Amino acid sequence: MGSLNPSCKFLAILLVGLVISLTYETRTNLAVCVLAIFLTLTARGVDLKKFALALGPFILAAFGFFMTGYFFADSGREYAGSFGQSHITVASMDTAWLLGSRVLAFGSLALLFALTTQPEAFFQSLRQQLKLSPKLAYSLIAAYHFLPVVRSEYELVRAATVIRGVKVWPFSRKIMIPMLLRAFRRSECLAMAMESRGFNPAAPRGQATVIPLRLRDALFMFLPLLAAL
Amino acid sequence: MDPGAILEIKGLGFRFDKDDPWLFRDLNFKIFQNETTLLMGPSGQGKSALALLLSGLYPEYAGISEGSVTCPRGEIKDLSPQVRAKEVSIVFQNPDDQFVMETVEGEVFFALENLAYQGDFRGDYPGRLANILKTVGLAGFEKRKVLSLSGGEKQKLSLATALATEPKLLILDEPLANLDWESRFELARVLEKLSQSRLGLFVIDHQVEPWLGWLDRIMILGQDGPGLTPRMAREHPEIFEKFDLYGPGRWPRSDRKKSNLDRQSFPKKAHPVSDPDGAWSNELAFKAENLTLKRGRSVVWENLSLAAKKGTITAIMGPSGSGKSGLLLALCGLLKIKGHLAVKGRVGLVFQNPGFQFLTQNVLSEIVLSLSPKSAKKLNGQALGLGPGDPEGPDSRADREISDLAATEKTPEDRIVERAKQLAAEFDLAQTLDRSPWQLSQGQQRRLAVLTMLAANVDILFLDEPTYAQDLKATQRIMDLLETQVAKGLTAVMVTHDLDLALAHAHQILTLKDKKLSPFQGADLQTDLGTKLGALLEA
Repeated sequence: MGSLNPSCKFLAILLVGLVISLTYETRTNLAVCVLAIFLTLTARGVDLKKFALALGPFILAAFGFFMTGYFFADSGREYAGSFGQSHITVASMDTAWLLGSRVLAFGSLALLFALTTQPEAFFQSLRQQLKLSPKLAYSLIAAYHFLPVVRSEYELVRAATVIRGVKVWPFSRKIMIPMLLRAFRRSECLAMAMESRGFNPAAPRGQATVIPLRLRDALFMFLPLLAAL
Repeated sequence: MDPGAILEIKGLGFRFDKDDPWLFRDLNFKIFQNETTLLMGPSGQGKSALALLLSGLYPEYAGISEGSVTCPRGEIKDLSPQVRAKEVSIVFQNPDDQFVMETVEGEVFFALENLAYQGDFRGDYPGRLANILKTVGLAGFEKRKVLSLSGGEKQKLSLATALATEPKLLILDEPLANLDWESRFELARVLEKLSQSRLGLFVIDHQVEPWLGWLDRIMILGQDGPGLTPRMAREHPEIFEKFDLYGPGRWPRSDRKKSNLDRQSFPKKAHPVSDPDGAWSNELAFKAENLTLKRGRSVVWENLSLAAKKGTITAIMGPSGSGKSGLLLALCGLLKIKGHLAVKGRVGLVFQNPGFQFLTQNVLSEIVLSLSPKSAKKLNGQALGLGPGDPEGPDSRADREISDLAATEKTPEDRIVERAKQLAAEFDLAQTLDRSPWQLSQGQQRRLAVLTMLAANVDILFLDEPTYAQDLKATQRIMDLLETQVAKGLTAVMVTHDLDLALAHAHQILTLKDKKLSPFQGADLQTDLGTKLGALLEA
């Protein structure tokens, strides 16, 4: 999985996502889910702990959706059982399974992509295969790398409020203003650094690393199509 | 244009806004290949703006300019980024703000790709990468993540990306400011080597010393003429003092420094570190035993013990990334740590970048907030005499009526405002009361940060690199203010890279290195400066 072309992988997974959002079958959802988890776990270099932690919220959400479907008032006549004072019909039981399995399928697909793809390789591939403009591609990359800096800055500003004995809420104006100001300055500085390194979105660029597009990438793309048919 | 010149500057002037005064005007000079020029000048005179003008980024990004900067291919600001990058490249002061990619190789490739690199080997990117990394002393770092690099390594990387476009002139805006002194010497040595390979260097720095051995000329912004030669600089150090700059020898020889060195207890016997098992004495301001800090699973430092007497200054030195800032945060009680920490009194912290610690919209309310958080809430902009107050404040109207009634008598709030204004005057900030803290210069920001901490009546003040990116005047001002308070009983602990500063002011100097804290030993230093100091300390 890790060696597949990121753009192809992205499109294939997007396609599968589309297919499940257009079908109403619990079996399809569960099959996609099992397949995605299998592919993730067999891929090279996937951190199991990270995977389990990331899957947790999806399972919780799936359970929530299941319960919603479960208690959803339905006009069906066949009773499947009762829960306290509510009677559960077979139809609402089906809805429950459908909703729950759908959330799980989307979640496992998202994780399949996120855990087996290097962000930078994805951006490069978007630029090379899908002809995304360099301006947009590099803005995305730069923004992505700002995240850890923003986090450490947040901790710093929080520390400042503690040491001054000022009580603030997590997204208080007192915290956000210095961070915003700093973000403006940082992005201006970065833009200047990029330009001074010769970055010109309008001009032709070289390619240091070529993200390969191979037969298996194409095969992987068409697999979901075949399955859907 | 002069045939040997890389850049020709004619009648150059700059200001940020058409209503602002000119930062500088009518600059005329040339920069030649093979030449290293050092540009000095007091803070706030537009040195960085000049650097950005020379690299063609200003006035595109900010400001208004007059006159011209010309290279053999035409006016620098009219060239396309690719053509320009082959003439001039710039390295900024803060390396964190100039990286786009995740890895070292990605960063260098980015620059090479920008120029659609063909090169000697026709698109041999890895070959060119290895070559550049070797030049700057980062060989073998290809796959490393940028985030995992130390400050010195980051600065070398930004140097590498600047070199990747093969410019004829490299502009460096305080390239050493963020580095510990070992990395400083290392980077300066790399630059010295580069200067021998037909590359022109234009360096901005507050200090002469690291460059004096090999530079060709020193220019001082604000002084007319062709500039100084290194020889003139050595013979006439008073020129630098006239402009509040660090001359050769870096730190002025003060009497205090001498008395510090004469003190028999300095530096070997006065270390509380060597006496961690002594009982808590009344003289101590704080005492820490066996502190250990972990980040994730890795240990940043372990089993640190230190203490400081009341009314003393402690300096903590050590390489970048050794966890010095973490130690300050830990001593302030802001980090979870293992070990025993006893602190007497209130603590304050001045950040390395004070911009992060201001919480209000103007200088006066910033001081008032420290003096009395309660009054700060009660006082709105109106009461502070700073124009219209906060119209959304629900009680503002009622407050005003009350204060009108009591106009003849001084309310506690009035007294606090008065005290705040008085403090601002003491710290030379009286002119800035109604300005936003973020609009102040670096020097003013740091003074305000120190002031807000002292106004809150702290007993122990921790300072993270109080002299970072400051000129001589601003540094001395901070240190004088600090010394005054220390004489009154304040205990100060500062992290610094500036050995001379530590020697001039500190009662104890500790080095944090390899997860351990130990007394500073002059003889450990391996540079010329180190040997000299070592000898001084032994004597």
